[in-house]
Amino acid sequence: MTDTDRQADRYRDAARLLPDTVRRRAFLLEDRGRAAAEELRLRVGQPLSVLLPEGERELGVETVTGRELSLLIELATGASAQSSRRELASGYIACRGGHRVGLCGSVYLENGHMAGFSACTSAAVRIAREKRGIADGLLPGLFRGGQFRSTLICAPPGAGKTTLLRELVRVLASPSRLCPAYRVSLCDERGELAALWDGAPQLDVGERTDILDGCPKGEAVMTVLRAMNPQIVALDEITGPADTAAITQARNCGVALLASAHAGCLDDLRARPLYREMLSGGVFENFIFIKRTGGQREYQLTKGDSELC
Amino acid sequence: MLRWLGAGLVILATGSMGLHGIARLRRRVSVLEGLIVSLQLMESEICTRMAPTRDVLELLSREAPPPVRGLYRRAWGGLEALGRCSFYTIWKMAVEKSTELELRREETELMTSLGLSLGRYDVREQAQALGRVRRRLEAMLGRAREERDRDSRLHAFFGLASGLFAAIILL
Repeated sequence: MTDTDRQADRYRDAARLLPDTVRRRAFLLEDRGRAAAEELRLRVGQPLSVLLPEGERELGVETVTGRELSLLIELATGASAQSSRRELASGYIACRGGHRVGLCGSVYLENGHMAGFSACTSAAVRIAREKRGIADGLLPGLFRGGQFRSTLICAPPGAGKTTLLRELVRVLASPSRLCPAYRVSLCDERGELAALWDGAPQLDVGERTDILDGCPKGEAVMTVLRAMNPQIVALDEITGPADTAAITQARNCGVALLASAHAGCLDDLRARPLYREMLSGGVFENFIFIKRTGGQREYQLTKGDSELC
Repeated sequence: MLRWLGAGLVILATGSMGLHGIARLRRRVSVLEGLIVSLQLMESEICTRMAPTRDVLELLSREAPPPVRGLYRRAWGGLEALGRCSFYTIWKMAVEKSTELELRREETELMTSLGLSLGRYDVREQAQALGRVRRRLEAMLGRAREERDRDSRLHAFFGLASGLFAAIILL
């Protein structure tokens, strides 16, 4: 099976999350488009659209209704709002196959915090993608003295951080000519990296990866440090002080880190107090920036040095 | 001889009609008891374990009291249609197809209304809906027990008495 076939299969799998009436429209997309599709977007009163590397394209002319969005949520949660409570309060639902349904609309609050949606007006079905080989060119540069060095993947939302992170985890946790398989502990708070379902990862994250799913990242890092004796700790999207504190502690324990962050360039990182401390502490030695040019992704590896700070 | 045989058969027939009436009253009580127990189990699975609806229905199709298992089995099987229709529709169809429960209209409406909340709202709202339905079923169970105790003797008496009466006339 080629990579294109695999991606097209993933599109079909993600389209199964849609209600019947919308699914039919999603299947109007030709095979080449299915392989490249990144998201399916539903907005009440607008036609279904697909996000491709070159931009959004409408599928069919029929508009999405509020009832169809309600059905989408029922399908994505398996009619189990009680089990997806924490996710709904974060604005998304993690689904079988590693796909993710992001939601927007009117929310209701509990103790001043978002607790769920009283009405949804739009949804984005993000298609989980495995892109084998995208890290091959980068990998040799991530080692120094035969050892993997802590690496931060930086890019704006939707640029492919999670896909690259998953591929790096897969490669590092499997034996290769560059290195023996590392013991990688994967802190998968949102269930996007390994997409555990019934205890089994839906996406390939390598042979020697231990997955901690659904746990807040800061707590997860400390847990795997205590429990799993990892050589590398991997986590997606550093977003809060608890994450950076746990990362710094892990680094002080001699564990290598592999993480991602929302940032377009080094200046973005420097400008944010959250990352400034990590940069000055030299927590990460490698920085990978993802740029999108003409629908293609370009990976740029930068070595950490004093200039960063 | 044939007259006596015929009279015996008449008494047997009317007597069995009386017994059938008693069995129906008893069955109604056991169905309501089964529904109440299964809703208690459902509430703890949803509100304490926060188990997915599919798992809850699968569990109840195995572990609920026997008279009501069919309802949950139908609802569980119906989940395959999610996406073509809403959970409410699936639940409503499961309740309506469970004719073996012999639910009265009020009970059917009550059980159907549960489909509006199950799996849809937050745990607290689901617990409230389950509690409300359970309390009303408990009230119905109380009445069903009274009806069983009061009417069982009547069914037995009229079954046998009408048989005897008919037999005397025939003889």
